[in-house]
Amino acid sequence: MSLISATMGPAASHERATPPHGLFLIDIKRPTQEVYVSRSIKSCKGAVSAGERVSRLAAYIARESMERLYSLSLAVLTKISCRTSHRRECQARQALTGLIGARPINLRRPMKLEATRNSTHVDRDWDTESREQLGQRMRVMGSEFLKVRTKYNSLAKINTLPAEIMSSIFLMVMASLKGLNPPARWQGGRLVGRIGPDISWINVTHVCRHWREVALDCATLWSTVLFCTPELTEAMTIRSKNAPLSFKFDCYDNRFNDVVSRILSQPQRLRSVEISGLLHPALLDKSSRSAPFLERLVLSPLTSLPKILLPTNFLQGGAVCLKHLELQHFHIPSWEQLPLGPHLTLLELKLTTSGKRPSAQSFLESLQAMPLLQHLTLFDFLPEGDYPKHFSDDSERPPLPDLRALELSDTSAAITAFFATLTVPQTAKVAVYLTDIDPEIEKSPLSQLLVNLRKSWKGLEEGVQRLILEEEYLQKFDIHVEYLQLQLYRKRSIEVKSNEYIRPDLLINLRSDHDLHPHAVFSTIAAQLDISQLIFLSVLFESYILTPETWISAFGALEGLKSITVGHTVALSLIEALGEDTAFQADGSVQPNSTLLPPHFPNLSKITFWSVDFGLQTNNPSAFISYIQQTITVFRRKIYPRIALEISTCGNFRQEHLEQLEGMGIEVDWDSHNGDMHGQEGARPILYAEFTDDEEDNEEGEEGE
Amino acid sequence: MVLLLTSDNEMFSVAEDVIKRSAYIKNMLEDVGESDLPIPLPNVESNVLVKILEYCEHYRGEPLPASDVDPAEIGDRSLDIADWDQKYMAVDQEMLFEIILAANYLDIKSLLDVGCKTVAKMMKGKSSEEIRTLFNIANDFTPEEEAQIRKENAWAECR
Repeated sequence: MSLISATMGPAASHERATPPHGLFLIDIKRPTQEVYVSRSIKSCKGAVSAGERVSRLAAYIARESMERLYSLSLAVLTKISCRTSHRRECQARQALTGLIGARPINLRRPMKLEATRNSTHVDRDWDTESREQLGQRMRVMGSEFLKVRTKYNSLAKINTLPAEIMSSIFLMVMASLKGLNPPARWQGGRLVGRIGPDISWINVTHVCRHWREVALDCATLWSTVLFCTPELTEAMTIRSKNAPLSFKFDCYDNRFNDVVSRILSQPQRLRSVEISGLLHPALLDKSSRSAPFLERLVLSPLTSLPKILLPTNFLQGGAVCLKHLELQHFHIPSWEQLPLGPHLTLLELKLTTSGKRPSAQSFLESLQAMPLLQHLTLFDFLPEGDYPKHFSDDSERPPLPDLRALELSDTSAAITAFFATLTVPQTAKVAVYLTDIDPEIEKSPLSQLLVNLRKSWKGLEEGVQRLILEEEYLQKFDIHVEYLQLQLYRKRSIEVKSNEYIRPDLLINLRSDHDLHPHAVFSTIAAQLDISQLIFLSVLFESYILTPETWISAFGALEGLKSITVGHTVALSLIEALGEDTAFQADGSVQPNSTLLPPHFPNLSKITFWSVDFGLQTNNPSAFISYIQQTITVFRRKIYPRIALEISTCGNFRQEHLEQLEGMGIEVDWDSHNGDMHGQEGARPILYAEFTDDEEDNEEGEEGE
Repeated sequence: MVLLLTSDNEMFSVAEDVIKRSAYIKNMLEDVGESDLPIPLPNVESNVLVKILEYCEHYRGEPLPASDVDPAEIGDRSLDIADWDQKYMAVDQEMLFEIILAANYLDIKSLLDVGCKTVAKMMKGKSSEEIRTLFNIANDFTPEEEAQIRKENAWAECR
């Protein structure tokens, strides 16, 4: 800051024309500009002499810090009459010099400015300069105004909160907006809605300087990096200072490549990284260094692009805190290069290919070194060789004590060997994808696999309560493969909420691009797993056909079976199966010794037709309706419960059919859908109707996914 | 009973199990032991302490919340506030901030959390101008800072 000198005017030539002038303080660095009026002239009037007034002025100046004087561009503080004598001027100069400092002060009368109480009058001849002066005055006043506002804000009650509390509040605002963004949607040919995350929390940094200061100082506020614009991402990276970074990035925009690369080149700062989409392999080039804070790493590039080769030095610097590792659509040269550690709770290697499978010994040692593992997903990474003998001894099996979900996609031999060796906790959910399947399924390893599974995992020890069979198209490597999927549920002790999707306790996927025989699959399942307590059965086939014999042999004798849901291609065969009760003769009369005959769907009380085209089951819809009606009213033993029907998303079922069935006393729940089946994709059926049974804990209504 | 002396020299006699929700008092009692001397609370006025004690009394016997929360974990919490807490916090702003300050001073984490959530809920979804109006704050940004803020507002427009 420059020292201020005092100037008093006016010049002699203007003396007569101008009224009394005041004392002005001038920034000596900008002597032509800093002329400012700040205090009422009147207030300085009094009995005191001009010299005393100057002394008082000087005392005032001395009390204020130079900085304040400078910032205020302090001006007239008192009035010194133009008639002030030279002696008094000298007194004033002396007083100011003494109080401000040793610097000589030149007291002169102001030349052009007229100081009055309320205004500053400007001579026309000095237009340009005066505008500059006014401009400066506006700037100064503006600056002063902002300072007053800042002071005003400091007295706001909320601003009495400590910065750390303000930071917590800001973090809460930010957190509350996570995931609240409604997804963008097309409307009237336009994309409506926000595409990225909601960052309206950033408004807290735009309220006032204090809030902004607090927010910018709170590194955590910026450490969950967002990808709205590269500028924002860059700013967040900087503002987060050294805080560990977390981000989730759907990489479909190469504008972010640079900033993402810069973030990834600081692995020592990463806490949680999730990248999907167009993940460029080069982004992983700098991933060899240590990532001491990294807890979560999810890399799932687009599966339509070639697999990404996992760099051999990937996180070889160490990731001691890593808890969650998901790699999808990668080629992983070897098991040993994975950053597996003792804190891992989730390891998911999905749609991956392995250059070299681990040895059984190495694989088991890795699992033993991950005692906290809760989720394990391995695609084609199971050891191929024999497991060490001693591991197959029950007492020495390596434990996976916390395992909750196991998903294996591999050859039936590899999966069978896995279950022969490892124990899976009873409460875990198991999913297997058999990538090879023998058309002669009875002789295939499926039987052996199920035998080993039952030894390894006791999840279905109490029996299967629900069974769903359907066709699924699942991605396998780079192609979609058709699977026959079996979803098995154990008996539940808790009530399942309606509409809640429950992951099956056991999911078996059999590749069905070979000549797969459902009958053989059913036989194998029935032989190896206890389905005697089955209550709910869904067969949602759209291309496979079941014979009535298969229905009867696999499920006809199940005494607990109450509800069957059937899809398009198996509806007719179920009705045929129901009609083939040996207790009846062809004319509907009962066999004399019927009480000794085997049961025939004895507890079945509900059939749901889902996505069934009634026009394609027999010659015409009416014929099929009549067939159903006859079967469940005539060829149904009287001691068995009446069967109710639910018609959901079906084709060629009309009001007259409803009336026909209801006219025969059959209870029908129809969703009124009667459209053309072609191109129809109805919602999945309510797979299990609710049953009230005081004896069993089975009051469940669950909807498929 | 524990004696508390507020900044405006009012004395409060409070049951120990009530006031032990304050980690500050709890630690002090553990360090000093039994004493007839009042604990001075120079940062808390009597009207605020009354309100604080209402909270402590309501949660008397409830387990104390876990210790310090990692700031990074704040991001995983919602702004849900229990019904009683919402009613309790239905006070004017002056009292709200006094409660927060007192909860901070007395180290009552659950109350501090509820107070912060209440303020956060007041801010959520509001523009900076609306927040200024809400808390009676003036815009004191310089023109240069305003220009930067305008730029930052464009960040929010994901494209």
